[in-house]
Amino acid sequence: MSRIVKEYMGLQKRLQTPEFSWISFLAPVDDDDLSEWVCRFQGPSESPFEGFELGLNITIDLEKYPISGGPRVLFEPRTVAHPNVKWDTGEICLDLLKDAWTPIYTLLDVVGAIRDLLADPGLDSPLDLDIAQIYDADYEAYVQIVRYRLEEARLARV
Amino acid sequence: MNGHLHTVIPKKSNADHLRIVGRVLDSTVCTICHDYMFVPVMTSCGHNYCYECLNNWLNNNRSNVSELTCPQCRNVITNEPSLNVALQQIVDLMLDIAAEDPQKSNSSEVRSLLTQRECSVAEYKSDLLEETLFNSVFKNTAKAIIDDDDDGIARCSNCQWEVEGPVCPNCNATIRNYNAGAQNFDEVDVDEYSDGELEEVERDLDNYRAESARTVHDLEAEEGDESLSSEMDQAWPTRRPRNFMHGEEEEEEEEDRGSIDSFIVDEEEEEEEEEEEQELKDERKFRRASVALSDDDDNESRDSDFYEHNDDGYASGDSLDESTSNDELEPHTIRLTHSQDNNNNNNNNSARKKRLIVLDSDE
Repeated sequence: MSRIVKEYMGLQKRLQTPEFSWISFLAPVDDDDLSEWVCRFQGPSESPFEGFELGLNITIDLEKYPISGGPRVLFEPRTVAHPNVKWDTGEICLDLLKDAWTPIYTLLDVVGAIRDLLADPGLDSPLDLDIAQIYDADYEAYVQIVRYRLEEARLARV
Repeated sequence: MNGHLHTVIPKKSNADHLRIVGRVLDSTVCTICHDYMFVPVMTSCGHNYCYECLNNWLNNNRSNVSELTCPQCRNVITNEPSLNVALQQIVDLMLDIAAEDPQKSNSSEVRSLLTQRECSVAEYKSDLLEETLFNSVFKNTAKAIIDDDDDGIARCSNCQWEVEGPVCPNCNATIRNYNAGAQNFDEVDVDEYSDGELEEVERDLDNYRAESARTVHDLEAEEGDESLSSEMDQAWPTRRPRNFMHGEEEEEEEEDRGSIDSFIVDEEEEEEEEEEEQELKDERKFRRASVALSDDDDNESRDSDFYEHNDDGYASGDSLDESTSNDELEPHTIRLTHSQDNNNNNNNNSARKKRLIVLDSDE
């Protein structure tokens, strides 16, 4: 039985535990195809993302996962203003998803790492230079931009 | 066996026993495949995986030779992980007890686990018999280990032979920590320096290597000049197996020429596009000799030991990349003026003309 099937089978039970109460939804788009997943989770507390729900689109190469590569994870495009997220595509710059991947990580670990990244951006290699600059120069302005963009996206969803 | 725990633990409550069993069961699950480890192997850092899983991970992407690392702690794995017999016995016991349960006589899950165990054990045993454990990744590859007590010579971790390139000349093992881009072994201890310091040290080291690599290589390549080769032999006693390089030498010389070509052409393209190829060759030959001579003159401290200790540079004629060569070539070009007297070469005139142009365009 493949790794992703095992993860899938244990997932709903683990999502019930308090440890993962911040994840409101994590499941494959289609139960018969475990290569496409969606996730919705609460922005981390004590960050500009607090109080907002964020969406992730996850693609898994079933041939390669987990030995030769981790999942490909994108935020919903044009929702997240963050130094390590490409605004137009939602691409996330996170070492865990690239060179630092090892097969001990699970989907839950990945989503957790992305949530941590929201609260604690890495400014060494920003994908969005403008936002990184604002984050550095004027944190209050950064908070306002993040929240404005998230509010905008929330209204668009309704 | 009759230790204290043997008397205390059996008397503990059911809840405690369940806690223990739960913990033991968890430790029998592989963190890679999330299955039970019927053939658990343990890395030198103490982490256990299925033989098959760790084998897949270590052999994943082996085309780009790089360090073998532990998935859990990322520590470099140098030695072949070994079978964790104690853990295997626990897994076996659990499965055997589950299988002998007379009530639910061998449910389909237990049967599938028994088949899995058979397959895993068979695979491990066959690899063990054929001596191809881990696809021989620990035999076909090695680490270059640099021991300061051994004059800082890089040695193959498999056979202790001196290594300087990406492959051990003795056992043919691919050297895992040979960094193809930087043409060297990772010998700077990162923990000893702060970030800024480390960058500085690495920059110095790179410059130093590029310089010594060129000097040594140029000496080596200058085969036509009798006096020079004998001088070189004196300066460089043959303690290591020299012929190891000869297979690659031609190729390296080509690359060397290429980079000098590009240097010269870059600078002169507009002015002297019609320059004769022969002239270029003469110039190169001359430059090479002069660079070697002048470096010798300037660095009296670089005795024979110097070349011995820096032999990793020896293999790296192609480390003459643009950035270092442009920085480094200028002083050599200037030095040519006095060393040229030592070299009564027929082509002096054309070489001198060429040299002056190079000198000009550099400034």
